[in-house]
Amino acid sequence: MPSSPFIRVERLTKRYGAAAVVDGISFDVDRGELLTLLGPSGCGKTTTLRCVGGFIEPDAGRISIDGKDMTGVPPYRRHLGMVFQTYALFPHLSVSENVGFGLRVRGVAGSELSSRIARALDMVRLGGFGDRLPRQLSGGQQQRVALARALAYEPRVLLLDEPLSNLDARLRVEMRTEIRALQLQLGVTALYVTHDQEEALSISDRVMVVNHGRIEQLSAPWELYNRPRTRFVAGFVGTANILPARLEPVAGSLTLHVADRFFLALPSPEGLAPGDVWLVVRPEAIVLGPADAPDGASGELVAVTMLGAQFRAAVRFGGEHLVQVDIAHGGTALAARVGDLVSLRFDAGRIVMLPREPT
Amino acid sequence: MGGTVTAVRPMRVGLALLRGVFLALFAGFIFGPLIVLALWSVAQQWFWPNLLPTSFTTRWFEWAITVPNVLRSLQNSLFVATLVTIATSIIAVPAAIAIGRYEFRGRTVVRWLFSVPLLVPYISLGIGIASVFYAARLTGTYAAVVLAHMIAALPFGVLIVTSAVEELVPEVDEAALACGAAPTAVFWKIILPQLVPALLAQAGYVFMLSMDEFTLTLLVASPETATLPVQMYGAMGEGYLQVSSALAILLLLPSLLLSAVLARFLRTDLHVTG
Amino acid sequence: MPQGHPSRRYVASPNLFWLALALSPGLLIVVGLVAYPLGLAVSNSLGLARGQTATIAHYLAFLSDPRSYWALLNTFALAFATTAGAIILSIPLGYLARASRRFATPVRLLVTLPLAVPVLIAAYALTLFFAENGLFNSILVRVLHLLSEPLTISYSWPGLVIACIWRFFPYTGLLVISALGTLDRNLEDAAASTGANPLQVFRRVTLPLIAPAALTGGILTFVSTFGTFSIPLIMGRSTEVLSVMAYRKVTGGFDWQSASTIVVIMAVFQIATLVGLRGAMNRWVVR
Repeated sequence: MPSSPFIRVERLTKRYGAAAVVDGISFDVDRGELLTLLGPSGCGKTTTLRCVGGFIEPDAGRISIDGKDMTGVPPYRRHLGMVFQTYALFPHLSVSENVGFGLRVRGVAGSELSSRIARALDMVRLGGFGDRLPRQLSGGQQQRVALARALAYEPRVLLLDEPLSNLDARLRVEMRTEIRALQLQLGVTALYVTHDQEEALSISDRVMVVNHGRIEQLSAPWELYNRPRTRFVAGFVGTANILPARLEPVAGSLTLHVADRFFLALPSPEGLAPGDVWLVVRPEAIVLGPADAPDGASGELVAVTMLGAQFRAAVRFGGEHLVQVDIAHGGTALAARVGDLVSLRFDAGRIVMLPREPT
Repeated sequence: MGGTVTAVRPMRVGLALLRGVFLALFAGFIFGPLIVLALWSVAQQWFWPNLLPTSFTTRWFEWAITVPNVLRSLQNSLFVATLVTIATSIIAVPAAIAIGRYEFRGRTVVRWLFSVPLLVPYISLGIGIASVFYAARLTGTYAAVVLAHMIAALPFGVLIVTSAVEELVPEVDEAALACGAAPTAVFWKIILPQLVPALLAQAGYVFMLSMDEFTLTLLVASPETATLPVQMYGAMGEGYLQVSSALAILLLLPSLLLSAVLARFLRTDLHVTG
Repeated sequence: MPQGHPSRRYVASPNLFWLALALSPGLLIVVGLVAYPLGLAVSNSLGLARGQTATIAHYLAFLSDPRSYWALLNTFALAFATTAGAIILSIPLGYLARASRRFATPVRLLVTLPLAVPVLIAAYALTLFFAENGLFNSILVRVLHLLSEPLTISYSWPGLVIACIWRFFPYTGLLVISALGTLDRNLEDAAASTGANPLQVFRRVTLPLIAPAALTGGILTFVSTFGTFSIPLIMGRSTEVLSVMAYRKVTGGFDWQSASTIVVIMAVFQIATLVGLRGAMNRWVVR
C-alpha cells in the first residue's frame, strides 16, 4: 500500500497585485524526505515555504500536512520548526532559553526541559554555550542555535529559508553537511529553500526548480543535473553548453546538426522527432583533442582556466559559439596553446536535447 | 631636495599646534560658562578684578535646600516629574507600539499628529495652553503643570518607543510563532522584553524633560505649584547670584548624569526643546 | 518575490478596538491640548473669541507697531545668525574630529555636552561667563592683557547670538561631524590627484557632499533658536524677540489676544521656513 504524502501542496497561488508570485504550484513531500525549492530570487520559492509555514495566506490552493488541511491554521498550531536566513534568535534570551522556548510554550518544565535543551544543544555541538547571549556567538554558531531551537520540540516538519546564505563559503559547505546528517538522523520531513544550485544538489532527496512562480522540474539531484527537462533548468543547474541544433532524418536514423557546423549520429534515436532542438552538454561530457582528430568539430582555443580540480577550456566554434570544456590534470589537450585549432568530441551518451522554437 | 623636506615639518607642527589651540579654545567656550556657574555656587566672595573666588562656602546649597519655598519647588519638581513620567508612559507606549508595529489606515496622519508639538514654536504651545488653562481656571494647579509637561514630553516618548519598535526584526516574531507561541505570548515574551531598554530610556528622558521644563511651567504654574527651574528664575531676577547658581547646579547634575546614561539610546534630533 | 515585500511581515491583522484604545489617550492630548489651543489662538488673533466677525485688525496692529516689527526682525536675525554661526563652527570641528582618534572623542563629548544642559541654565551660565566683570573678561583683561577695557557681551545682541550658538549649535555640529567622518576620503584624494588645491577640494567636493547634513542640522538649530524663550528672557535685556514679547503681553495685563497674534505669526513663519528649507534641500539633494 503506497503511503500517502506527508505534505501535499495543491494548486497553490499567491498574487501581489496583478502578478502571481506563486502560480498554481502542486507537489508532494514524503515523510522523512528533504525537498529543496531551488530558484533565482523572486521566483516564488520563499513565498511557497512561507505559505506552508502559515505566515502567508495563499490566494488559492490547498496545503495539507499529515492528511490535515492547513487552511486557516495559524503558524503556532502547525507544529513546525523554522530556520531563517537571518537566524532570528531572540536577542534578549540566552542560548538555552532560545532553544527551550518551543518546549516551554508546550508546557515542558523542570528537569525534562533542561535535559531536552541539553540534548538539542549537544546535537548541534554547542553544549556548554547555553548561558551565552546570541550576540556573543559567531554567525555559524547562531545558525546552529536556530537549528537546535527549531528541532528541540521535535516538529513534524522543518522549514529552512536560505539558512546558509549569511555564512561564508567554507562554513556553508560544512553546515549543509551537518544539516543533512541531522535531518537524516532525526528522520524529520524538511523543506529547504535556496538559490544555490550546488547546495541544492548536495543536500536534497529531491529538488524542485521554481521559476516565475511555476515548477520547472521536480526530480532527484542526479536526474536534475543529467536530464534537465527545460532550457532554464539546464542553464540554472551546473554549467552547461547550450547550443542550437537540428535533428534530421538520415537513412532511417536521425542526425544532429549542431550549429550548422557538424553532425552527430545518434546511437538510439527512439522517441525523437526531426526538428529544431537545444543541445545541452556539460563541460565534462566533451573531449578536447588535436585539430586533426577524426569525427570532431573543430574550433579555436580561446582560454584555459585553472579551476582547482580540473582545467576548463573555452573553445570558439562556428564563429559565435563559445563552448566550455573540462580538461583533467595531465590531459594531453593541455599541450594546446591559446589560438590553436582544436577538436571537440561530444559524448553522445551524455547529451540532452530540448525542444526549441525554430528561429 | 632638502629644502622641501625641512619645509614640511614646520607645516606639520604648525597644523598640529593650530588644531590643539582650536580644541582648547572650543573646550574653553563649552566649559567656561559651566565652570563659572559651579564657581558661583560655592563662592563666598568673588569680586572684580579677582580671576577666581577668594573664599569658598557650601552654604548656598544648604540655603537652597532649607529655604521653605525652594524646598517646596524641589518637591513640586519631583512630584510633577514622577506623575508626568508615569502618565506619559501609559499613554505613549501603547501608541508607539500601535504606530510602529501595525499597518492601519491613517497611520501616517497619526504619526504626524504626535509630532505636531515639535513643528510649532515652543512658546506657541505655551501661550496656547496657558490661555486655555486660564479660561478653564486651571492655571496654577498641579493638573495644569502636569498636563503642560505631558504635551512637551509626549512627542519624544512616542518617538523613542516607535523607533525601537520599528527596529524589531519581524523574523524574530515569526520564529516565536513557528515555535508554537500564540500572538499574545509572542507579545509578552518576545516583543515587550526586547523593548525594555527603549522603555527605560523613554521614562528617563521624560523625567529629565519634566525636571528641566521651564517655559510652559512659567506660564501655567502659581508660586505654590512652581517647579525648581521657575524658582531658580525667580532667584535670578532678584539678583541672588550664588543661590541661583547653586539651584542651577542642583538641576544640572542629574541632567548631565541622565544624559550620559541615555546618550546610547537617543538620536540627536530628540534633544530639541525650547 | 522582491526583498522587503510588505507581506514578509507577519502582523496579525490589527484589532480595531485595541488600536483605538492604544491611540486615543495620546491623540486626545494632542488634539485637546495642542491643536485646540493653537486653533483657539488663531481664532483669538482673528478676534473671533468674543463672537465678533473675523478681523485682521490684530495683525495690522501688530505689523504697524514698530516694536513688534523690530521683534520680528530680531527673531529672524537671531535665528539666521545662530544657524550661520553653527555651520561655520561645525565645519572645523568636523575636520578636527576626523583628523585623528585623539581628537574625535573629546570633540564629540564637547559638542554633545550643551544638549544636556537645560536651556534656562545655559542662558544663565553664559550670562555669568560673559558678564562685564565675568571670567571671560577677566581672562582677556587681567590675565592675557589683550584688552584694556572689558567687552560688553552679556545682554547685548552678540551675547544673545553667542548664547544661542552655545546651546543650539550641537544639532548642526553632530550631523556635520558625522557627515565629514563618514565621507569617503578617496573622493577628496581623487580630487586632489587631479590637481585641485585644498581650498578647491573643499569647495567643489567636500562642501557639496556634507551640505545635506549641514542643512538638516541647520534647520534644527534654526527652529530651536527661532522659538527659544529662555535665552532671550535672560540674555536679551536690550533685544526683544517675539517669544518674550508674547510672554510680556500675558504677564503685563493678560492681553491674550496680542499674545495669540504673536505666537500664531511665529508658528506660521516657522512652518513656512521649515517647508521652504525642506524644499530647497530636496532640490539640492536631487541635483
